[in-house]
Amino acid sequence: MASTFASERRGYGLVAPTLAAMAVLTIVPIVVVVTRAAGAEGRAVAATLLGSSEFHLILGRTGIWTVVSVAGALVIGFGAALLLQSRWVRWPGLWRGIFMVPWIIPGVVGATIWKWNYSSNYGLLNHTLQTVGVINEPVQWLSDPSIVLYALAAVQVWSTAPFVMLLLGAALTAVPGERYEAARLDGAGLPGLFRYITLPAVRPTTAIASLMLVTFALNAFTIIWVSTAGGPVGSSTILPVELYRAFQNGDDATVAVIACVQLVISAALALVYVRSMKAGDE
Amino acid sequence: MQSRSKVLGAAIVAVLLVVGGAIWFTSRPAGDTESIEWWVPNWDEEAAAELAAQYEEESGVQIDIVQTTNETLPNRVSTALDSGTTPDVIIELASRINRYAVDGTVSDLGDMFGSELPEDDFIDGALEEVSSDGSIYAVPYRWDCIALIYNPEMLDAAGVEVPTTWDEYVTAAQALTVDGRSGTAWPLGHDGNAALRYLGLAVDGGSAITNGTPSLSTDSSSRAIDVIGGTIRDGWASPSSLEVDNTGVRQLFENEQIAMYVGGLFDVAPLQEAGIPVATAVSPGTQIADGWAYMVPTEAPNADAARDFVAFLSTPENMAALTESFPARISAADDERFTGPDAAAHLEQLTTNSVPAPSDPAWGELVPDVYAALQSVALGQTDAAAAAAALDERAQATLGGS
Repeated sequence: MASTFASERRGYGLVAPTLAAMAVLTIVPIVVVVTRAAGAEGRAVAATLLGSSEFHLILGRTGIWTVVSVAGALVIGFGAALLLQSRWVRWPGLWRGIFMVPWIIPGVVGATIWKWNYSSNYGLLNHTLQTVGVINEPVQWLSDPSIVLYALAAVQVWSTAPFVMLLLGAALTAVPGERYEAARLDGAGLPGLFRYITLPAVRPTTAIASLMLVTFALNAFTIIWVSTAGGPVGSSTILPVELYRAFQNGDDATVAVIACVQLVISAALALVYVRSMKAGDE
Repeated sequence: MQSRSKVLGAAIVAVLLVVGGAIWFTSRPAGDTESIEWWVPNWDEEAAAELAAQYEEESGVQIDIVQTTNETLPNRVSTALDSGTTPDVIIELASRINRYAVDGTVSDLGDMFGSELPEDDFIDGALEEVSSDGSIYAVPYRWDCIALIYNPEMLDAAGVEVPTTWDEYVTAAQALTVDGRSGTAWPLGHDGNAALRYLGLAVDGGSAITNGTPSLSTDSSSRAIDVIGGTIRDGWASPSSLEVDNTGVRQLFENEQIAMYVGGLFDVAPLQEAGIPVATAVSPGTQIADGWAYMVPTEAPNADAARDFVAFLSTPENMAALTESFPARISAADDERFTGPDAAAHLEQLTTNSVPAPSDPAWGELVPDVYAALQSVALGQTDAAAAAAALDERAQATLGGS
């Protein structure tokens, strides 16, 4: 008993420096930001922002951006994980490595690559689509306000889908083969195997991946800033971009208020996630 | 158990080292005159390294160059100055110096000027740009503005004369829009670049910049927005204009996607090296001049050594060595690079028809609105008159009336 207590105490001692560092690096900034947002200036800014139609548009765009990029990454990442798990794919390790490249490379590099790919004059995408006859005129991927947000969300999907593939691939590997064998013996087809074995097996991991993807989406900045800086005419401006603009102008109160809005959205989604996990366990 | 104790001991030692290191770093005494930290933009780094080596040899003081980039420089400088953890010398855009001077975070270098560094040796506007309330907060070393750059073969083939007014420029752009290429392009992929194009046109049309603060007239603003946004909307300027910055516009010209544009002298040499037919002319109308300058933060650890180093950098020969366009000192401009035929149009533009860029921090706040106005007209969302009226309202609030 005494040995266990000593061991626990040593464990706490070992994690104490990390906990202290975490407190300094996360809790203190959060408290500072919330305090600033709750101050007189912060409240005035919040009232102006929340009543502004432009801010409502930014919130709407943030919602579209989040839904499209999360759904896209989940579908493509899960599809890739299933494909690499299949016995028909040769050298899965090689393909997994290649598929991981967008996740590994720095965000600025990825964004710059896609800025060039989307270019009206030189872009590989327009060139390819024109060559195969899908389009006649170059599409203004980054300068058409009705397209730009979706074009950039596609880049976010390209960047984050490998993360989903990695997580769900690991979850799929953990499903015992006997379970599929037994289901087959009971007459289950591919749709049945997928619905009653694969999906339940990856459900907790999918929930974690979704929460992480939402966090990535709500913090996404590099792709948009490098490609369009939030334009044209604000049509790709989402919360993190607006926050950065406020930072550039030295407007600390607006920075704090927008950061708090993001915090509330993230916390709400985390709550939904935790509750859904608890419901699943029960 | 023994190994656990070792791990615990190692962890404690590591924590003590980190904490001790942090305490030492944050409390080390200022005034280490054996080295000077110098922030240099990436395009000047090579020439800067040569000057630094020369200074090290002469003075025995080590120069630590830290590379900066155009995109990140303003935030980086602001953060450093606000935090008080600053380098000794910073190269910054001249028109931004007064933003820092307002906060008292840059040193007054007025006492450096005299017989070795005469104020009247600086090109008109350069010192005014970095001065406020009788103090001079930086030493400008480079001063330039844009002029017309065109492909003479394309103009000849289309039978187009070099435009001398903005109306002629628009007409020429229309005539040069043939064979899948566009007459011109604008850097509407970058807010700062786009806003300066707008401001040049607005000043040409009757707006003014007085003591660093622009006062915009609605008519000139409307015309400026119409020339830039309208040529994109009407198809005479490349649709890529909405995606590119100044460098991107040059690349469009280099790839013969456009026939003319307004750009800096530093664009000419790369175009010649690429084998593109290129000629220059004075721009149709006034352009905005700006430059780069050496500033010493108030909290510089080695302020005295920094001043000596700035004095070394500000000699005519060293000033000439570190400029891609024109040196800020007249006596530094004897070199063929600045007086030769390739530089003639830009030099004429700079000396006869340019005005210093706004140094009022309020202009920076208006730039996003200017940018949005140009883009909305380019995309056909609104017309130039309506965009100018909306911009005028914002300018009244931001700049304090027109």
